[in-house]
Amino acid sequence: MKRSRTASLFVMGMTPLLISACDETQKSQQAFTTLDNCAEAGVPKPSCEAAYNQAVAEAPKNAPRYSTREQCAQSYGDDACQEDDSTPGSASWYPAMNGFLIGRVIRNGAAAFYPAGPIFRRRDDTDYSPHYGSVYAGGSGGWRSMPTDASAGEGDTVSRGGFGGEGEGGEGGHGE
Amino acid sequence: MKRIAVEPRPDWQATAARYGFQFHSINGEPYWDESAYYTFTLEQIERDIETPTGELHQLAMSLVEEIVASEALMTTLAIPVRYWDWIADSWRRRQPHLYGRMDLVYDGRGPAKLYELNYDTPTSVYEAAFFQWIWLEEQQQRGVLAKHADQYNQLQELLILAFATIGKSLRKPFYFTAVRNSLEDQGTIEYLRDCAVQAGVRGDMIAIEDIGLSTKGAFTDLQNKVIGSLFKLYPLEHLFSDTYGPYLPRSDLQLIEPPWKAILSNKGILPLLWQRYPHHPHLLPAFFDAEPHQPVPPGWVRKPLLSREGANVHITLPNGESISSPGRYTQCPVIRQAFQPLPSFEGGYPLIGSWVVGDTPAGMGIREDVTLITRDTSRFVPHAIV
Repeated sequence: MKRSRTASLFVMGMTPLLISACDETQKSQQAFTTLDNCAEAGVPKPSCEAAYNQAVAEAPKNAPRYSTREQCAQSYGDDACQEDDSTPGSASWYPAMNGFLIGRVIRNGAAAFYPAGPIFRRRDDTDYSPHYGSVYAGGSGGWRSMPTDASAGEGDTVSRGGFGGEGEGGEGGHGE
Repeated sequence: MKRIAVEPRPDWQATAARYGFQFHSINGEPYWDESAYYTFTLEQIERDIETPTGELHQLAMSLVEEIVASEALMTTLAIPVRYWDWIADSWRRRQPHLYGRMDLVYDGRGPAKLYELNYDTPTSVYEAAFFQWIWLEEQQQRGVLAKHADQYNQLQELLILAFATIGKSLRKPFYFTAVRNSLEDQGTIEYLRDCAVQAGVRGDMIAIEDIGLSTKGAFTDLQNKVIGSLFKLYPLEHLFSDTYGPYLPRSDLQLIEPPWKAILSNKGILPLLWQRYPHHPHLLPAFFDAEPHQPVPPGWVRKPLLSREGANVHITLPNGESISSPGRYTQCPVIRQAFQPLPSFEGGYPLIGSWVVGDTPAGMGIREDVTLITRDTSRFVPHAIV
């Protein structure tokens, strides 16, 4: 066979074309601890599974890292912390994933769901998300809106718009 | 190789809408045109398209090392001096590339000839990789095409594999960008982003006009986070001449396609290929044209080094008749390439777009125009192997 065995789209066709801070898209997110929780919240099953699988794959890479068990346990609790000895000579400790996050975007009445990575529950019952830092409003109380000005604190952008100047040429796109 | 007229699927527009194919028509005329399809034999595909594609790709790649090390050649290609070291460095570090499309002239018989390499910002990948694949499946289910019909199209599989391979080396956050107001370009990056997601590589989209510059000379997203790597469906040479261009070499931004693709997307690669591999069966004679204001002699085509979408191409047919396309690439050095007519099939002139993902020949899409110059108004016509 000279063609792909399957061809499928994951999010295309249900996503708005561009999500930017200034459009009227409603963005929210929700954390789930199990696939059942996710489905009960009305998220399509394939979206739940995709988000869960991605979170499981990401968790060991993106979990917060500590050099000792004690440091890890201080934030995440004794039971949560496990050792990573995959790199000889540089053992580290990290908490187990506690659940997974899904982002929901509603535009023109249509909802789209995005995998948003694992979450790690701290001792104080707040959640840490490697993608977003924190999980808004924490816990399990439904879809929480994300502030559109959420930023990672590197806020020293001095200008915008210095790329795309050739876009005024009137030939439309730039692919060929 | 045949062109077969066929009734379009009655619901093809609804199908296109369902799969997010928003640019299926241009000004009310179908761009995706399934009122016909081309058929090939497996031998034609493998011997005449796939194998030459792999060979031409290797020939082109073999020139990069020499060109990035030569000030004379970089000058000939009209690449601005301030980007030379950055381009050379990206090559020496073998910064990963994703894909390219070469345009081939092929009539089903003689050896395919290389028109040009679209190795920086190729489009029509969604049409070729996905929607063409869906078309084949549906037409088989409806009995229009035989069950054993096939297609030269491993594009989506190889794109997902490529993202899985390069994903680890991409600095985060990873973004896809294109100009805001092109439905076609936005649709293309949306599709590529979908392939990345399927490979487990997370990437968001940002309009290129929205990218910011930080006090430290890094590029930022709308949350003021420093962008780690950027897939840009926007020509490298436009980045070079944009206001932010001079910040690129020191910005630490990883680009896909990488800076060294500026060598291969430049039409100057065609005369350089002909110099190094004269009379190669899949190359057309090509030369740098030192007299851009002289008329084009009969049997030759003049192209600017940096033209897109067939702009500013001048053809003088062997009988002396001239065909020109308008455009804005008027100040650019030019090359001359031997005229090789596109074959004519029932009034359509098909041009083969042969894809390379990473370094692997990956599939094919055909664009058909009613004139000898394929422009962005040409129609995409599906194909099948029978």
